[in-house]
Amino acid sequence: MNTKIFKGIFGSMLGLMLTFIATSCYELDTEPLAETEVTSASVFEDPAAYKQFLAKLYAGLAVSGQDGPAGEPDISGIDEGFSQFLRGYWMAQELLTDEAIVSWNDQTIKNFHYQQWTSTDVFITALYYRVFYQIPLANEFLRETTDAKLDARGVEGSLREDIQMFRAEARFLRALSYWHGIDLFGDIPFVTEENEVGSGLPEQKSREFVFNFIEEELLAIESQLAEPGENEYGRADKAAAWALLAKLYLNAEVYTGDARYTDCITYCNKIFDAGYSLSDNYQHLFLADNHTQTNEIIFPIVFDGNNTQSYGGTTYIIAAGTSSAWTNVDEVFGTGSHWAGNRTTKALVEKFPGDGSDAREMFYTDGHDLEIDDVADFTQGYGIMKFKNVTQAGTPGSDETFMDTDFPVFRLADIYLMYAEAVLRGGDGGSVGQAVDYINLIRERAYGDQSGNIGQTDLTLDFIIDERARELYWEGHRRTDLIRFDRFSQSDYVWPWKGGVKEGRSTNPKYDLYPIPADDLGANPTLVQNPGY
Amino acid sequence: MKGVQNDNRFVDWGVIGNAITFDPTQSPYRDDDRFNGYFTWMSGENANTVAVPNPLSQLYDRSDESTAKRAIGNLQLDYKFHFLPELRANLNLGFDYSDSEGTVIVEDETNFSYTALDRSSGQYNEYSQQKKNELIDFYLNYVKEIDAINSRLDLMAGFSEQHFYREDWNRETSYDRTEVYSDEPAYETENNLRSFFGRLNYSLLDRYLLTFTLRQDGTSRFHEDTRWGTFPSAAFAWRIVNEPFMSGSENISDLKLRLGYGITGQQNINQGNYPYLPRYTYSSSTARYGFGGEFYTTLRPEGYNKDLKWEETTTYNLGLDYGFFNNRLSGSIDAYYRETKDLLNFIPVAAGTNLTNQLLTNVGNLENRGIEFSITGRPVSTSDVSWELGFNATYSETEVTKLSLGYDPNYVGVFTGGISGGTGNTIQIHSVGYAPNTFYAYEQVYDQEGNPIDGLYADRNGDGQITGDDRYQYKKPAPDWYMGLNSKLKYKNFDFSFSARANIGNYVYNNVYSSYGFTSNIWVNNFLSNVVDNALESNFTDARYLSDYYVKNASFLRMDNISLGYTFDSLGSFGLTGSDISARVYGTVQNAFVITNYEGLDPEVDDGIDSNVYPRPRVFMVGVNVNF
Repeated sequence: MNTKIFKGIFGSMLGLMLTFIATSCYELDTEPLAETEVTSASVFEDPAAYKQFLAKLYAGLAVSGQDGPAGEPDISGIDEGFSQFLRGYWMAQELLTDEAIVSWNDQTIKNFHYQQWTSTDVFITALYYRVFYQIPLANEFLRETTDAKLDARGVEGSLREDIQMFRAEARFLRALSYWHGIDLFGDIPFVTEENEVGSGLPEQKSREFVFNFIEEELLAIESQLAEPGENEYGRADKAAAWALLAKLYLNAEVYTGDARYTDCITYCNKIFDAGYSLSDNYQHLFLADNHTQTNEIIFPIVFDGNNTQSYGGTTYIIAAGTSSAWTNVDEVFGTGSHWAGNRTTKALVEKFPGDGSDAREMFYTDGHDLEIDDVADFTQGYGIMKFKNVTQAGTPGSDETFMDTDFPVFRLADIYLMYAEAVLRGGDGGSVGQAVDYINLIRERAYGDQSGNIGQTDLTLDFIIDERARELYWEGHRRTDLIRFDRFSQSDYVWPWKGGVKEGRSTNPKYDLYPIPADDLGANPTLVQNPGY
Repeated sequence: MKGVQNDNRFVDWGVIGNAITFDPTQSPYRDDDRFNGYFTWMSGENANTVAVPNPLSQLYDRSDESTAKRAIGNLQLDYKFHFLPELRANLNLGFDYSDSEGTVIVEDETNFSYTALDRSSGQYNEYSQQKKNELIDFYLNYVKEIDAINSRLDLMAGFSEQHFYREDWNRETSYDRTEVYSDEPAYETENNLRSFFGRLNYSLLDRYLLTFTLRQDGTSRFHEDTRWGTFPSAAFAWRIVNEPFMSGSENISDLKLRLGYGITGQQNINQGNYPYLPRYTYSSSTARYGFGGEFYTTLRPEGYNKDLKWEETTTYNLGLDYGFFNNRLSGSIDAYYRETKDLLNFIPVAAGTNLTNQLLTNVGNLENRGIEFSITGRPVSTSDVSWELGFNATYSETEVTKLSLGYDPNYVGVFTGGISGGTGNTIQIHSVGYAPNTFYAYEQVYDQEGNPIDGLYADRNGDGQITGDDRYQYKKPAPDWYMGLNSKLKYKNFDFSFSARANIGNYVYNNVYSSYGFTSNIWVNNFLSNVVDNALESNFTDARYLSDYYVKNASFLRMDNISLGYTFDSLGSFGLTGSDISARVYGTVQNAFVITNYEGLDPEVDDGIDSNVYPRPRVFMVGVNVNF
C-alpha cells in the first residue's frame, strides 16, 4: 500500500468534507420558533415581561399550567387537575379532618381521611412539589430583577419602581410557600435566589430555621409593600404580610416550641387598624362576585371562568362538592360541573344548632344521610353549599364549567378568631373583652341578631376551635387548627372514619406531619425523613 | 419522487368503553327530537352530564375527517474518480414533507357534549399539522483488493445532516363558527442532527473479517458542551467453514463465528426540542391571572437541564451461523448482553433545584440480556414436493439497575402506566432490580374456595394497615420468550403455508374488568350502567383498580397467517416476447386464531394495559395473481 495514495485519499476526503461543513445547512444551535416560547436571553427585552412573570408567581396558586384548563402543566407525575396548588392544599387541609370526606377511588385519595398515607402518596408528592415549584419560581424572579440585571437592560423610571414592589411581592409569595412547607412537612429543603437552577442539592433546614427566615423576610419587605387595600386587587399588600405573620406567630409553638402569641396580637391589631370590616352577608364571601368583598378579604387567590381556568381551585371546591342529583343544582350553583366527591361528616354538622338560626349552617340534606356507612357513597354525609358560582344577584358566573369565585386565603373573620385565641393563650396587647366583641361581630352576622352572642365566660379554647370550624369550614384551615389544639391525630378528638373506621379511632401522632415524598428522598440523598415514615 | 394523498376518517375510541358500559336495556333513541333523538340520561329537565354518553350519538353526531398529503423525494449521486477507480463519492439528498388538515365537527344539542347552562354546545374544530424532514448525506468509499496478501480493504468516511420541522395548529369554534373558543398561534419546532462517520472493513483470505466503525453525532437538543457523542464499534467474524481443516467435513455447509461490540447513542426524547435551554413560555388566554380586574398573560420560566447528554448503550454479541447437509438445515445462535447507561429518564428533581418537579435527566442504568436461536429445515425437497419449516425463539430479560442519584432503600421507583378508572391511577413502576414497567399492585387475598375477597389485600409490610407501602412488584408486561414457527409446503402446483407466533410470560392488566367489573357502578349518580360479567366472578362491589387480581398471564399463540394456493402454469403466451402467462389462485386468513388463557379481547397489548382495545380484525382474502 502506497502511503502517498493513502494520504491523498484522506486529503481529498477531508477537503470535500470541510467544504460541506462550511456550507452546511442546519445549525445545531437552534432557538425556539414558536411565538409562545422565548429564550431567557431575550424575554426581558419586552418591558411587559416583568409583570407577566409576576402574574405567573400568583397564577401558580390558581392554575395548573400555561394552557387553561389543562395541557401545559407546571408539574408532572400526576393528573394535571390534581396538581393544581389550591386543590392539593385544600385536600391536605380538609379531607383528613371532620370537615370533609371524599367518595372517589382516585389512587390513595381516601387515605387522607383515614390518616394512612405514605411517602409514595402522589397527592402529597404533588403538593410538596407545588410548594417547591413556587419557591424556585420566586427565586428566579429575584435573580432576573437584581439591580445589576436591570442596569444592564437599561430599565429605569416607573417600571424600575414597579419592579421593586414586584420583588417584595415575590418575596411575600415565597414566604407564603415556605409557611406551607414547614406547616405540612416540617424540616424542608431550603433554597433562595443564591441557588441557581440546576445547582447542587439543597440542604434540609429545620422548621425553626425556616420559620425565622419567613419572619425576617416578611419584616424586611413590610415597608416595600403597598398600603392595605392600595394595591391592585389580587396582589399582596402590607395587610397580607401582617396576616401571614399573625398566622406564623399563632402557630409558632407548634413550629418551634416557642410561643409568640403577643406578636400574633400585634399583627392582628395592625390589620384591625387598617380599617377592614366584616361583610354584611356571610354568603357573599363565597360567590362569583366575591372580589367585591375587599373590606373583609385580605388576600385572595383570583379565579375567572373564562381567563383563569383549571380543574383545581374553586372549580374543584364547588364541582367536587356538588352532585347533578341535587335539586336545581345548575341554577343554584351557577355551573354544570358536578363531580360528586366531597361532603362532610356529622362531626361538623353537630357543631351547629341545627335549627337554621346560624346562617353559616349551609348543608344539603335532601336525599343525603347524616351517617356514613359507605365512604364511596356520596349521598352518605351532608353536602356543603358554601361556595357557589353565582353572583349576589343570582346570575351564573361567566363560564358554565369553570368558576369565577375567588378563594379567600386570609380574611378578617379569621383574624378576629386568631386574636381571640392568642389572647386566651396568654398573649399580651389584647383583652378578653375586646376578643368577645370581635367574636360577637362574627356571631351577629351569622345569626342576624344578637341571639347567638357570647359572654366572657363562654370564650374558651374549646369554643374557639369549634367556632373556627363553623366560620371557616372548607377554607383550608382545619388541619393546621386541629394540630394547634392537639386534636388532629391520636384520640383526644375523633370523628367518623378517622383512622379508617366508621366511628373513628385514634391515629399515630406521626400524621401531624406529612412525610417528605419518596421522590425527593430518591433525588436528594441528604434529606432525612420525618419520624415514623 | 413520490406523492401520496390520504383521506382519513377517525372515531373517538372512547365510544368502545361507553358501548360496554351503556345500559343495555335502554333503547338508543328518544321519543322526541331533543339530543338529536338519542336516548339521554336526565337530571330533572337537564341532561345528566356525568352519565355514560350514548355511544350511538357519539358515532353519528361527531365527525373527524382529515386529508393528509405527503411528498417524498430522493436524489442520489454516485461518482467514480477517474484517477482512482477504487474511490467513489456518494451524495444523497432527501426530503419528506407532509401536510395534513382536518376538522372535528360536533353537532349542536348532542348528549355527550351537553352542558346545562349552554345547551347549544356543538363544536367546529379545525387542526393542521405540517412536517418537513430533510437529509443530506455524503460519503467517500474506497475499496481495494490487495491480492498479494489475499486481502480486501473497504474504507468509508462521510457526514450527514438531518433537519426535522413540525408545525401544529388548531382552532376551536362553536358549531355555527360564530363563537371562537380557542385560537392560539401555530406551534412550530425543529431539531437538527449532524454526524461524521467512518468505517473500515478488512477481510483476509475470505475467512477473517474485521469491521471498525466510528461515528460522532451532534444534536441540537443538547448544550454545545455536551451535544456530541462518540460511538465506536468493532466486529470480528471467522468463517470457519472456509478453513482448510474443514475441507473434509462435507456435511457442514456453513459455519461462522461472530463477535461484536458496539456503542450506540440515543437522543430521541419526548420532551420537546430545547430541554437544555433556559426559556420562557407565554400562557394561553385561558390561563391568565387577574390583577385589579385586568387579565395578564403569564410568563413561565421552563425547567431545563443544561447537562443533558447522549444516552449510551453498549452491546456485546456472540453468534454462530450454521448450515448442514447442503444447507438443508441451517440457522444461528446468538447471545447478547446490552448495558444502557445515562438513561434519558424523566425523573423527579431534588425539590428546589429546578423550575419544575420532573425533568429529563441522564440517570439510570438498564441491563438487557438474551439468547436468540433460529433453525430452518428443508426435510423434503424433490421436484414434486418441497417443505420448509422454520422455528425461532428468543429469550430476553431486562432489568433496571439504577434509577436515581440517591440510595434511599425505601425509594420504590417511578410510577408509570396510567389506567382508566379513577383519576391519575397508575399500575406500573420502574424499580431497581425489576423489569421496566413492572406491575405495581396490592396482593389480593383469596378465600378457601379461591375466590377473591372484596377489598382485602395482604398487609405485606405487616404494619397493621393497608397503605401504598403494601403495593409490590408483580409480573411484567414483556414476555420472557418470543417464538415463531413458519412452514411452506409445496406439492406440485399446490402451495400451503402458515406462520405462527407465540409470546410466553407476558402479563396484562385487564383494565376493562377493573374499571367496569364491580357492582356498585350499576347505579351511581342517578343513571344505570352496564358492568362486565367479570363482576359475577370477582364479586367486587367497589372499584379495586390496584388489585393484582387483574394482572393476568397473557401468554398466547397466534396464527398470523394461513395461506393455500394453486398455480396454473403456461396459460398461454403474452405479447411480442411471448412470455408465459401464469396465474396463482389463493385463499388467505390473517389473524386466523389465538390460543390463550387471557380473558380479555386480545392478549397482545403493547404496554400491558388492556383498556378500550380496538378489536384486531380477522381478514379473509381470496385472490388471483397473474404473471406475464
